[in-house]
This record gives sequence, C-alpha cells and structure tokens, in this order.
Amino acid sequence: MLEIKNLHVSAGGQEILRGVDLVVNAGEVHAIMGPNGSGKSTLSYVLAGRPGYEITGGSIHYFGEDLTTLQPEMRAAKGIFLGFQYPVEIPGVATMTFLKHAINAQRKTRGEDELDAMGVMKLVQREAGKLKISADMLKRPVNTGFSGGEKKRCEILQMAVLQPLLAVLDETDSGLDVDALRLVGDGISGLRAPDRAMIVITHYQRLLDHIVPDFVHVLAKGKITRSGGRELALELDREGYGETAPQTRITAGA
Amino acid sequence: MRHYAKTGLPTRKQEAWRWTDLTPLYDHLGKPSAPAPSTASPLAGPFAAIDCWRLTFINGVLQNSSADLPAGVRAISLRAALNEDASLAANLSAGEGAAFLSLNTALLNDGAFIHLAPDVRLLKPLHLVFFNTGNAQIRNLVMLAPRAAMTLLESHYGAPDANYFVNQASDVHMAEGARLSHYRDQAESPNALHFQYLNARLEAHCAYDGFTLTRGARLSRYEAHIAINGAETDCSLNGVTMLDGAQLSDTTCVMAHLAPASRSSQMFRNVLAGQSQGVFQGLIRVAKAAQRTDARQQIKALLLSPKAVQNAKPELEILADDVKCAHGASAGQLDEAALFYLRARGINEAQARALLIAAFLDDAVAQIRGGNGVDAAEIRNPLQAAIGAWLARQLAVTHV
Ligand SMILES: Nc1ncnc2c1ncn2[C@@H]1O[C@H](COP(=O)(O)OP(=O)(O)OP(=O)(O)O)[C@@H](O)[C@H]1O
Ligand SMILES: [Mg+2]
Repeated sequence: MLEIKNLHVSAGGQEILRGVDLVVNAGEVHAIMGPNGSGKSTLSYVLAGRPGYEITGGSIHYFGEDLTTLQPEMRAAKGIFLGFQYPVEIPGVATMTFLKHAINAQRKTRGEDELDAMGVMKLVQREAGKLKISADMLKRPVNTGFSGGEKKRCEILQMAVLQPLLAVLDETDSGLDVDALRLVGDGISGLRAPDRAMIVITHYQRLLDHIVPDFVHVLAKGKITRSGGRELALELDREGYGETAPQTRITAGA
Repeated sequence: MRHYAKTGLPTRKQEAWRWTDLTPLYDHLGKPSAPAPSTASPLAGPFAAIDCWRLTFINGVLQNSSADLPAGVRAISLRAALNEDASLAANLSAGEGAAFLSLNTALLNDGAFIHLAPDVRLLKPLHLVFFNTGNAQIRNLVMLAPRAAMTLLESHYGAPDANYFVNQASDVHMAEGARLSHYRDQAESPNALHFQYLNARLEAHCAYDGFTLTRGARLSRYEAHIAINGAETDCSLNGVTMLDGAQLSDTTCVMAHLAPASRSSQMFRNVLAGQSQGVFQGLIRVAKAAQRTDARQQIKALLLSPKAVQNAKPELEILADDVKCAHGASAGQLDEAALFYLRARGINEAQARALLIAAFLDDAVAQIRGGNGVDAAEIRNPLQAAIGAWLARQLAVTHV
C-alpha cells in the first residue's frame, strides 16, 4: 500500500528526515515512536502533502503511484487521513458543516454520489455517539475552544466518517484522560480492517494496549533506527530511547 | 453651494481624506444629474426576495408610491415633503466642513422622506431601491418619533456599464425609544463613484442596528457621523467590504457618545483582492458627560493578494473617566494551517479558501440583529449568499 524509500525532507532550510524507509501493507498497524523533534510529525505532514516540506531525495509510493506530486485534497480522496498532533481551530465553520464539506468533497473527487444533509447527519451522529461527542459540540466551530481531549476525539470522529485506507495518527493519545483514551483506543481498533492500514505515532505504550501494532519503529534524528514487533514498544516504555541506534540491535521489521 | 465653492473638494492633504484620492471625480464635476431612463432595470440583489414596502429611485428620482403603508407612516419623495412643509429643511444637516454634504445640499435632486408617528412599528421592512444610470445627488430624511420602530433596507446599484457619480446623504433622527434596523447593499456598477454620508442622531433608549455590504463602485466612501444624544441607547454599526481590481473603498465613522450609559459597537470585515484598497477611519468620541459608556470597534482585513492594501486609523477621544472602550485593527492573510487542515480532509484549495473567507466575514454578518419586522436570518441569509457568490467568482469555485 505504502512504500517509502530513502526519504529525505527539509523544511525551513533544515534537513529533518534523513533517509526513511518504510513499507506498510493493507491490514497492518505500524507504531512509530521516537524522541521529541526526531521528525515523526514531519513524516506525517509529508504523507498528507503539507506545503513547506521539501522532498530532497527518495520516494513515496501509494498503491504504486508517486504520492509526492498529488495535492493534499487528492491524497485525502484517495484514502489518506492525517490525525493531527495539533488539530487546527477554524473559527466560524461549524463542525457539522465542515464534515459535510469534507465527506462530499472526497466523494465528488472519487466520482461517487454526494450525501444529502440528512445522510451526513445520520452518519456523523452514529459515529459521534460512539465517541461520546455531543450534538452541541458538532454545532460549534471546528476545534474552536475544544479541550485537548475533545480535539483528539474529534480527529477520530473525522477518521470514522471519512473511512480512509491509510490513517496516519500523530499522537492521537496525548492529552487524553483514561476514559477518553479508552474511547479513542476502541475507536481506532474498531476501524482496523483488512483493507485499511494505520501508522500510529505515539510516545506511550498505553495506546498500544488498545490497538496492538504489528510493527513498531523508532524514528530518531530523521531515520528509522530500530524496528520490531509489539515487544519493542514494551521495551522502550521500560527503558526509554537511551540506547537507541546501535546498528546491531536493529531487528527485522517491515 | 457657497460652502462647496469656498472649500472645494477635499484632497489627501486633509486628514479625513488621507488615503482616498478623489481624482476620478473631477470628470463628473459640473455635469448635471442624469434624467431617468425610460426603462428601469429589474430589481436585483440580496433584498429583492424579502417581503417589503418598496420605493424605487432612478438617478435619485422617485418612480412609484407605496400606497398601502399603514397609518402613521409616511414614505414619499423628499421634494414633495419639503413642498408640503418647508420647515422640515431644518432637519437636514447643512454640511459645514463636509464637502460632499455641501455639494449634496447644493445640487440636490431628490430622495426619500420617511416619517413614523409615535409608537408605530412597521411589520415588514421598507426598501429603498436606488438604481443609477447617471449622476445623482440623493438626500434622505428619516424621522422616527418616540418608540417608533422599523427596518429600512437600501440597495444601491446601477446599469452595469454606466459611469456615474452618486452622492447620497441621509439624515436620521431617532426620538426617545425609537428602533431602527438599517441594512444596506452597495453594489454600484464597476465604474461608478459612490459617496454616502450618514448623519444620525439618537436620543435615549434607542436602538440602531446598521450593516453595509460594500462590493460595488470603483471608488466609494461611507461616512457615518453618529451622535448618541441620550442615555441607555444601543448603536451597532457593522459592515463587510469585498473589493477586487483597482477598487477603493473608504469607511469613515465618527461615533460620538454625548450622554451616559450608552453602548456602541462597530465590527467591520474587509476582504481585498487584486490591487484594491480598503480604508477605515474610525473615531470614538466620549464626551465628559458620557460616563459608563461601553464602546467597541474592531476592523479586520484579509488580504488575498500581495498588492491589496488596507489602511486603518482607529482613534479614541475620551473625556469621561468611567468608560469601557476597546478597539483593534488588523490586516493579514489566510491562516495557512487552517487551509491545510481543510485540504487534508479532501476540500480543494479554492473551496477551502472560500470557506475560510466566508467564515471570517461572517463575524460581521452575525452582528445583524433583526427584529423590527424582520428575522435576522431573512437579512443574513441573502447577504451570505451574495458574499458566497462573490467568493465563488473570485476563487472560481462552483458554490460556497
Ligand atoms: N517548517 C519547519 N521549519 C523548520 N523546522 C521545522 C519545521 N517543521 C519541523 N521542524 C523541525 O524539525 C524537527 C522535527 O520536528 P517534528 O515536529 O517532525 O518532530 P516530532 O518527532 O513530531 O516531535 P514531537 O515528539 O515533539 O512531536 C524539529 O526540530 C522541528 O523544530
Ligand atoms: Mg510531533
């Protein structure tokens, strides 16, 4: 589904990713962990197509297609979803209106029929209920004045209604209390499917208790320095990144 | 005419005209007002579908009468009103120190005279439609007796290719407890010059709710002088300005609090494309007697192109000590982070821009309070549709 080869990315004149390799197949869940500032969010932005990140080397292919030339909206329509580490506040645009625009924009791009207001409402309310997002919150402007936890739940709501094929979730667990973590964890696990892959960026094992990854990678200083199974996350949780990078400890991964 | 001859047209050397170059006007001076054309243009614009009483003016000349107005309401041509009662002229501001007002007073064609008797409340709006094909000097006089209430709509538009100069002045007198909702759509033809002078005097316990959508004319100025003369009065003056190409639009407002415990709020949102220029000059004046005044003013401009310019000069002149005043002016570009967020959800770039700009402008549209015979939504919705249509054209998207 996704094949990243020797990816180099710069932003603001500074090299951030320095040769990332990653292969993700349908049905897989990959966790990416790594110290602050190592380039995890940068990788997620590059996958979603954020302007301002320059690819200076390497390649990204998605279903065999060169992803790097596609506009962000086209990537979204083709099934790529980015759950933002810091969801953006959009004053003046009601959440429900935004969801309707997003759902129908993607459907239109894919050549599918648009949903009417009723159809959108039913779909959104069903998923919002599971995440305990109130009707009142859906009336409020996108993320505006939402608490940290509410923003993250709303990201998962968007993922649930947009039904992506590749979800990149950037620290969707940070800022969540125990109950919200369970809701979000269940929300994400519920979306696991044979034709859907996920890249879950996190600092903590606790999200991975809810959504057990097939692979765990460590991104440090712009490179994937270690890869392993779920036990790598447990080890990192115990021991930290202190010893990361020695070449000999790299385990076979994706 | 004497005052006008003495002072002539203002120039940019005068502080109140610092950013507005009047050179395009010179061509029109000395030309008389145009006669009405034989065929009127169909009623258009955001207020066209609202159930109203309507008076249509072509080049300032009233074309019809509204026979079915309720008792206690007069809406006739100003000339007719002055012929009946010459003493009404005392209610027209003379325009000392204001060149366009002097010009208007000197060359006046006609306009509307609206009078509501005490306690009369209009159950639907009165709509003044100003259609222009040539020069016009228009004067309106609106007098609301105590506790009278109405919604007054104004549409200003013209023949699409006409090159004309419209200079309109309105005097609004609100007696104690009167309520006026005053919503305007300035959609003059692209070559037109449009000058609008509002002189309003509000006594105690009044409520004035004003909104102007400015989108037409090559050069336009909306100059409002509001004197809050009584206590516990609410004055709200808001607007959206959308400019493109070489358009220049100037909003100049003096909000004078002369009595205690009144509130005023002004919210303006401008979106500027092309090489257009927005000007905002806003003075809040709080007299010594106007204790417990609450006055707010906020102007924000969104620049869609590197060549668009917004000039803003908010000013406070406060002589009372117990007042709440807040003012702010800013100009900037669209929030790139928000734009990317929308695009990452599949909304294409143009559509995402349109959504964000509409949301930005909606701050001002949302100030429209309605009441006085019309629901806020009846006014807001068609204005939002007009804004959406402009954005759709601007960004080449199918709908907003
Ligand atoms: N647009 C940019 N311009 C300049 N530097 C940038 C830009 N974006 C990211 N960086 C820098 O690149 C590095 C990686 O940032 P990134 O946000 O990808 O880290 P991260 O791994 O997600 O960290 P965290 O765990 O704190 O979220 C940081 O040093 C950051 O300051
Ligand atoms: Mg990050």
